Amino acid sequence: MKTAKPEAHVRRADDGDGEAARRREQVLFELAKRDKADVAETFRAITEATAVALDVERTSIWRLLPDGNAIVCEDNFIRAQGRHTIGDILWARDYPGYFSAIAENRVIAAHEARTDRRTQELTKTYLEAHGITSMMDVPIWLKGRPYGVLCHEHVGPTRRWTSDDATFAANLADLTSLALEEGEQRKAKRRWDAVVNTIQEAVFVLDGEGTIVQTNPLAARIIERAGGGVTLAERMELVEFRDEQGRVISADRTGGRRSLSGEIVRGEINHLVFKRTGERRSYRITSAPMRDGDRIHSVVVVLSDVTEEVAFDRLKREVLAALAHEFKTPVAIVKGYAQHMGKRADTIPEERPMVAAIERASNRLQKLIDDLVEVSGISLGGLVLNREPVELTAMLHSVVGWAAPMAMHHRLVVNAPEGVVVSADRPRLEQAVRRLVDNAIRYSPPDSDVEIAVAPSDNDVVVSVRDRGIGIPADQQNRIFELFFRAHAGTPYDVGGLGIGLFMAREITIRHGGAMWFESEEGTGSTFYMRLPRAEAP
Amino acid sequence: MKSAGGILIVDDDPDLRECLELLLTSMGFEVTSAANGQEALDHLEAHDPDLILLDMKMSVMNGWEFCRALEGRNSRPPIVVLTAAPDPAGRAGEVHAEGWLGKPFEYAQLEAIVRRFAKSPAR
Repeated sequence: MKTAKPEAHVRRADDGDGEAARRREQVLFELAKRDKADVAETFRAITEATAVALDVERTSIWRLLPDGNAIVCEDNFIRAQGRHTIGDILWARDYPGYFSAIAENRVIAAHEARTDRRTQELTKTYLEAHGITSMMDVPIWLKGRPYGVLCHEHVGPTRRWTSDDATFAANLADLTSLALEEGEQRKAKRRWDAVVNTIQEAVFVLDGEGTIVQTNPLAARIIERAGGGVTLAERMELVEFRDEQGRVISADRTGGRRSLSGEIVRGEINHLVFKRTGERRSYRITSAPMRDGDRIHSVVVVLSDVTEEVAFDRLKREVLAALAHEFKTPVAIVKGYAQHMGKRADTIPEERPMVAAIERASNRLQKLIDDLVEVSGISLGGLVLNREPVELTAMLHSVVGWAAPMAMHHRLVVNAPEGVVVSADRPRLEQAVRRLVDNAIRYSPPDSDVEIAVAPSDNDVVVSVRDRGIGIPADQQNRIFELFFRAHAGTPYDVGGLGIGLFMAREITIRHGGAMWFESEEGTGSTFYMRLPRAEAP
Repeated sequence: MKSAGGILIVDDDPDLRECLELLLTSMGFEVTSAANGQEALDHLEAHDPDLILLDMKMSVMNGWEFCRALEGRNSRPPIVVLTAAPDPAGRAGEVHAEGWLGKPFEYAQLEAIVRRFAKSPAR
């Protein structure tokens, strides 16, 4: 298939008949300067003008179906009747010779249409039916591919098509291509505008200086709410940007500004304070630079309003945290007395199991409270990492210190080279490792080892926590990281809790760009692995 | 001359105070209780305990205010923060306490941290 137009764009008519040539050029000129947004209307103008300028009875534009099996009439002008028809269809199976001639993508100038080998198949059904004696087809191209044909049909005594005729027709076919392209662009733009204008996000386009040059209606409403402000300086006068933690964002660190320096900002939460009214709203901000080679010529900023979400999320966390806090003191009292009674020599023997049950129950309550605190502290949707360099060995020793009271009957062994640093959110990462160590202690017998190791390589580092414990039953292993899944529920090892520990540990690891997996054998023990990138990926 | 030694419990929950009193006396310590920071300050006028077990969130005078009130003094007893906060170590850091214990606590944890600072009379 050809991918370029076989003939030059600009063709000049022979100067045989000066007046006719000038008229034709005038027609081309008029057609060329028309607004071609409405394709159907442009088609009608082209067929009418062609019929007059070439003095033919019928002119039509046919579209070739993508599979090449048929051509469909997009517009047909019948000059004597002064009317247009559309929708005729000719099938390749009925006229194979004609279709192979079309497939050559050349001008078909059939002076004797009813006997020409390229068009004779049309005689009975089409040419005679419309009284056509001569016809000329010119290919129409669209974006380097054949679109269809521009067809001229002469009625009356046969006619010899001149090279002038063919040149003029080819120019008209080019105009048809232009109309189609413009129509497609307009359509695409209209579709795009419809999308941008109806989405529930505010879309801003900034130029290379950070000045807003385009907005959709929602974005315009935000500007209105702020009281104007198109340049960055004006905006900063009217709106204060705050990050998720509520810290003020300086003018050079707004999402749009960062994208002007090439950064892609993905879904960060910003709080906007409208200074004029004091109103505060929360937005999830996404922004990206648009480049022309190396140069960033503009930036697209998309804001989606998450004010309600953020408020609800905060409320949820506050309620959970308050609830957990209020539970702690009563549980401390129950547990304190239970442990005291458990230690007393004079406790009545029959009451010992009861006291032990009270203590176990209070431990389970405590575990539930800890889980509540943890889920309330992390809003899973919007967990933002505050990364800093974290030296792993020091962090692991801190974990061991935390675990020591629970591990009085275990040996905690840290096997880590000094100086391995990752870029991580320290409290979160420590929380994840704590979960692994906590599990290792809970599910392994007294006097056994829990070994925490660090194995660095060039690009990443693997932290592992190994126990010699009860292991995870094989049929539970594929569910171990599910939220609220508790492998040992209902067994003597059931220590309560919501079943969030491993889910959280893995979630935190994944958000650091890492991965978590494990090896486990029932009765032998489990090893959990946490792989972290050594440096933050760019 | 102040009377020296023993443990001062400062907590606004009477049941928890009573529980701690029982636990610590059964460990062999002398124990006094205060329901808030102000009561604790009053007690310190005449006593010099080995250790203060301090709750943070209390009415009348909370743990932070109590510690600020002690700041001007030449010396003060060691403080172990006893808190239900999610980050007990952070709380302890805020008031420059010598140690911390999260609620609920393990009996053994309580005993270990208290023995670090307070002497129980020989039994």
